[in-house]
Amino acid sequence: MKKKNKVTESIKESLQTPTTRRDFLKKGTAAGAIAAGGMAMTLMPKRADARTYQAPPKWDKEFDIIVIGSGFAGLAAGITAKEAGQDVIILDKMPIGGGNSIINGGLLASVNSKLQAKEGVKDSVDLYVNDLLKAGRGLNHVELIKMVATEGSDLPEWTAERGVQWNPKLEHLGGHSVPRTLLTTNSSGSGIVKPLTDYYKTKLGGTLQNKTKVIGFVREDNDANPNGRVQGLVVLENYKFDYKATDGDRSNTSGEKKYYKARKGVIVASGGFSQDPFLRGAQQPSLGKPTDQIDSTNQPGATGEMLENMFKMGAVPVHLSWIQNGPWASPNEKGFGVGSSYQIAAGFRFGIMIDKKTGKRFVNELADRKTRADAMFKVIGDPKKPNYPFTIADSDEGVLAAQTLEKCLQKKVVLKFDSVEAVAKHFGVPLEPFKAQIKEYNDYVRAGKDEQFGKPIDKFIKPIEKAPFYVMEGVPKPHHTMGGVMINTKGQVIDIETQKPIPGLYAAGEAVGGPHGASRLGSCAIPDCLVFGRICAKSISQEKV
Amino acid sequence: MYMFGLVFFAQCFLCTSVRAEDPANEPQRLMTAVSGDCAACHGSVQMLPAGHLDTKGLTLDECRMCHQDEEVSLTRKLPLSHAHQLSGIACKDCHGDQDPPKPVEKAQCVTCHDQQELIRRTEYLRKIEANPHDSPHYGTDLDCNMCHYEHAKSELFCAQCHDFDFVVNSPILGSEMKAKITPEMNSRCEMCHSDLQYNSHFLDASHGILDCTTCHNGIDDIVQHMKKQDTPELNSCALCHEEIDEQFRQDAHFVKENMTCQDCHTNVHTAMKQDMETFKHDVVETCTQCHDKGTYAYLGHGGSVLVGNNDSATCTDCHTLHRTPLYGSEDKEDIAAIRVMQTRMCRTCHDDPEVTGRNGLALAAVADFDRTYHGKVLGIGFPEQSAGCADCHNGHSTLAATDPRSPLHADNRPAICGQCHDDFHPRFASFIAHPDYTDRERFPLLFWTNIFMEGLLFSVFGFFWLHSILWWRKAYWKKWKSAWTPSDGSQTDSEQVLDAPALANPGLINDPPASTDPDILKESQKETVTEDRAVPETLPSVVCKNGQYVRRFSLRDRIMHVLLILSFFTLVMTGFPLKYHETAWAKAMINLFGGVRGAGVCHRTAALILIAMFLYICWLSMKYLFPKGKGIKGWLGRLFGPDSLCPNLKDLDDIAGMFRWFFNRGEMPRFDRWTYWEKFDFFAVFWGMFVIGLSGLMLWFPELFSHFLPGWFINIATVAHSEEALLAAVFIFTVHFFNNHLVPNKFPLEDNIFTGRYTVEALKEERPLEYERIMAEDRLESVKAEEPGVLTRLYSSVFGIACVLLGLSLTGLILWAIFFY
Repeated sequence: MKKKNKVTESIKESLQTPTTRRDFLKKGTAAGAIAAGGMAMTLMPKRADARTYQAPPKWDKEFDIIVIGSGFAGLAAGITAKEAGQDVIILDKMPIGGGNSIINGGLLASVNSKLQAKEGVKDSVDLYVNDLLKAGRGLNHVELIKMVATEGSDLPEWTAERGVQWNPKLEHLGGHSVPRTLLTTNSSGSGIVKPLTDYYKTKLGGTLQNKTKVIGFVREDNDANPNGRVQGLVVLENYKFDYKATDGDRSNTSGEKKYYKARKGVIVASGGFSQDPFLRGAQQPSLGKPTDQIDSTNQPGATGEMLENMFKMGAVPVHLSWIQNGPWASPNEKGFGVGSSYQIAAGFRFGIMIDKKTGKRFVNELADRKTRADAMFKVIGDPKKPNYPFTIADSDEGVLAAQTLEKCLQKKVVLKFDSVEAVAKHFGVPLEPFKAQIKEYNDYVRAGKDEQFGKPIDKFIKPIEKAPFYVMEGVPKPHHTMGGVMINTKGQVIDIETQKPIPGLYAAGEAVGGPHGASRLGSCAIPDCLVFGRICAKSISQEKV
Repeated sequence: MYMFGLVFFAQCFLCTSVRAEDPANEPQRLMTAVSGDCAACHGSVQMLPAGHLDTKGLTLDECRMCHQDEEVSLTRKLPLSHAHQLSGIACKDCHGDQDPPKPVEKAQCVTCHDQQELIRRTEYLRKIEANPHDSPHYGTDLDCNMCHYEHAKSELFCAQCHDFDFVVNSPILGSEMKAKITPEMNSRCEMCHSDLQYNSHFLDASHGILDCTTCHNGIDDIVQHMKKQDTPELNSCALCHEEIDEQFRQDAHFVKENMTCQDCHTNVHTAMKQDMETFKHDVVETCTQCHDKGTYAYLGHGGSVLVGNNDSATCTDCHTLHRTPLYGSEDKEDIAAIRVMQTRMCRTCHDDPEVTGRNGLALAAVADFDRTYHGKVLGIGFPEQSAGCADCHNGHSTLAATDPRSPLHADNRPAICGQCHDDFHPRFASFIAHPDYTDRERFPLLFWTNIFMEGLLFSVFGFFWLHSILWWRKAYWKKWKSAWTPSDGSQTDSEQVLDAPALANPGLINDPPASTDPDILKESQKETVTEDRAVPETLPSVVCKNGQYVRRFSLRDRIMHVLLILSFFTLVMTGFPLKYHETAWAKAMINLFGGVRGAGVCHRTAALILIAMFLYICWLSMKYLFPKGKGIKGWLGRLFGPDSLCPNLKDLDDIAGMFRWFFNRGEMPRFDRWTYWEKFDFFAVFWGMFVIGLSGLMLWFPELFSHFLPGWFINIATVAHSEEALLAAVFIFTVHFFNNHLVPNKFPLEDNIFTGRYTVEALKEERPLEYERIMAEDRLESVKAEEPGVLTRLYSSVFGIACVLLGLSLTGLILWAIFFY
């Protein structure tokens, strides 16, 4: 208590009017939480009443449930709530709905699905959990992924009943023990988002309000109830997201401030923060550069302000610094582009990655995403004067078979050279060490073992010697943020002080930390989003207010 | 202009960069700004190059009059707001009146810009990358202002992730993207020529993919153009429609009236692809804009089309779409050409059982017509000498014959016939132009005539072909056996023994007299031994002389037969092409005689010769029956006597005898001077002359005969003439040829009809009774003749064999026509 008072004193200096005891406590705990998550102290609010808002005398709009975000999780929540007869609204700050989900790859892993039964695939919750734990380096919140596994077996049918079209065959993705992944017929998350949005809007008559940015929570606040209920939101209507902004649109104050009441509560499905230079830089300083310098594969609205709003209320930050950077991206095009596919299929597999300054390899080209990305960031150095590494592959069958090769050449993402000398000349690589490196690697390939970095050499990998050579520069791009707030299996956000749910606050999707641990396994994001979107909506619908 | 443009361009660039760096130079957004008043918003910043016209009050259209070329294009130089402002769309039209102005969303844009149309215009991009107006991720949900910025340079929303090369218009002033669909056009002409038919409707029309200048030549001087001084010339439609143009250059409308495409295609700007359901109707409507509807469209085909019968012929079905033939109406050749064309056109539908069946029309009107002289002459290619469909049926107001307005109504029909025929009785018009031989109800006499003729054909051929086949078998078998059997005298086959002398026939010049062969001679002696007949004991020694000739035909007979042959062939070769006018050989053959007219003259000449000979034969017969001095006395005896060609009871026995012989049931009958088949040949001509000659005369002078016979009798005459001719020709070329020339023991030619004589041996062999009579009456000296000279024999053989070959060839052609047409 004494210590706490000390902290209070220090905060008092910086804050003019700490309103209540609980409020001030929260400030302290939030600060602690932020510190724990590795965040900078700059989050400390500058306004007297920064963490939460007080209920206005008159609400501008009232709903049972407010869902923030219109991606997979938000739509699943909105649909489930609407189907349960709730008065629900989905808000999205962007002028167009769907968030990052709409540009996602459309892969859904479902455990014990009917398709698995049909194809005779033997799967189990434990198998699934083990797969995820392996990829997540054991950091996963197992109770959450168990929920995803058990509650997600009906997802193919649940979505199909709402208009989603799936390919009739299962995919077997890397890291999964058995085939359990479905793919939308248009190979994109838009194949889920579009039908679900249509279903929600036209079939259910639901409202999806774009251009509405949430700037804070309204929380019940009195001494009698230290763990006050989330009552609603403060939003900016007609918010105009600035696509030109390079700071994650932090300074944008457009729109009109409105108070929305959420009688039963709020479901935060606001996604990750791959496009938020501040928050991602806080976790991994090399990513702290503006978005025009550090590109991401995400949509520009993937920023972290909703996470911060929840942290401010006392939500527990989980795994924030585990940011998955896609090491296969190209600095010569935007986002995922066409280069990534080439790099995955050919560049890394059949080629080697070279540091231009040394002419040498620096990492196992088939190491996990994080290992590779970290090594690449090290080579790249200052993003203002980047030293992008490049992969070099020869005219091997496997390379030529890469689907996007032609398009990459067309867009000059991949370059074609007649000789190793020409490559060296083009990039200013010291020729002798470069040639020596290629020879060394080729010897390893022939020997069947990479003594240098331990790249697994299988029978398809051949020495690099057949001109012309294909070269692609690489840069890791933020792809998925593992971290977020902590929730329980009901989707309730956990308070760091009480270690109990914050009443009326739910979260689902990429905004939640825990399910994926250190690294997310492919095709596991969609079931996570959909399952917890539904769970949140079911839980919240049962709230008695 | 060019220099000016460059200056303007450079300055614009300068201004832009200045503005970009100095926020103080940001233009004001004035709701009240007048179109073209740069200073109102941009203040003191000089937006236009020095010396530029004052733009105040100018509209976008007016700006464009100078800014046409790319060098001075406004494209992507002005934010969208300028395009709207200069086009007369004020700020408040989208932003509303309130202050601050309300933001503009897609709902507002689509009040003017049709979203589906936008999707359609960028549809081609779907194949390249994706249709930005119907995005794979967002569908049609994206707001317009995600890409198209009103107050800044537009950008492609997709470009956040994709490297698409789409051009986002800013402003939408003739961008490349649009230009790909309608180059130039949208950015130029339609701005002034704002009539819907030149823009939005035009884009939907068939020609909508074209640029205005594809058809309208460009203009050089916009000011002159606006004063209507510089009117762009029209390019020829042939630019694209080359084939049609080529046709139309020979079209009567072009040649005579100098009409152009647009005279009929009046709506090139809005014309959609022709709906084939309404095509026929539309054609009638189009043609009757000039051609009188009453005359051409209310009755008959046109009227039927107008009430919705698409089976009926529309104008172009007969007159063709783009090559209406040009005919000078008086010219004989033209009349013929019209007749051919019309008839061909009529046939396309009326010869189609589906069309006729569906519409309750006569199913076989065309086939029936082809049976008549009209049809045949037309069919073989001499339209100038016949009548086609439209000569009787009025092409434009074709009506049922029961309609009093129809030219074919009974009252009007003589007038129709009178167009070609003269001096006929009105009943001439009862001629059946489309005789249906199978219609017993309507044409009973025709029906029965046809049945009778066919019955005659079948029975005659049935009998004689069987007769010939059996004969051939018998004779061939014998000949084959005698060639392979050792003739050592031990042969006991009675057939062999009896018939061996048949081989002695000295038919060919080079054949040595058979009797010189000792074996055969032996056989023949045997015969005389085995035959127990009243042969005189003492034959005059001359008889036994090898190769003694006796006369069979007089010079008169021979000349008559040659004349008969020549006239008969002429008749066949000039008549059958008409009968089988649809065959390929018919045309070639009729042309040998100089066409239908020449062939007609030959046919009639030959017919006259035949008739003359027929009469002469009658005279000779009379003379034979009632010779001078004897008169009527004993005429019956002469009539049925052995020298008469009149059939008698013995012929019946002979027929039975022959059949017995065919089946090895007896010996070959012993014939006298004339065999029964020779008598049949002779009498067939009598019958033939009666049927064929009489019907031929009727067909020759139909008008004359109409004074005592109804018109439809011509149809009867046609059937009779035609079928009897078939009977005669095929009978002569098969049965007669076989009996006399092709039977194995005479093959290939019996030449005594040409040489007039044969050997006594042949006489004795073929006509033993006559021989015996001659012997008994000791008339041998009177019938003895010199052996024919080499030349006589040569001529006879060449002529005879040529005739046989010709006859067989003609038979082949006839059978071909019967079985393959």
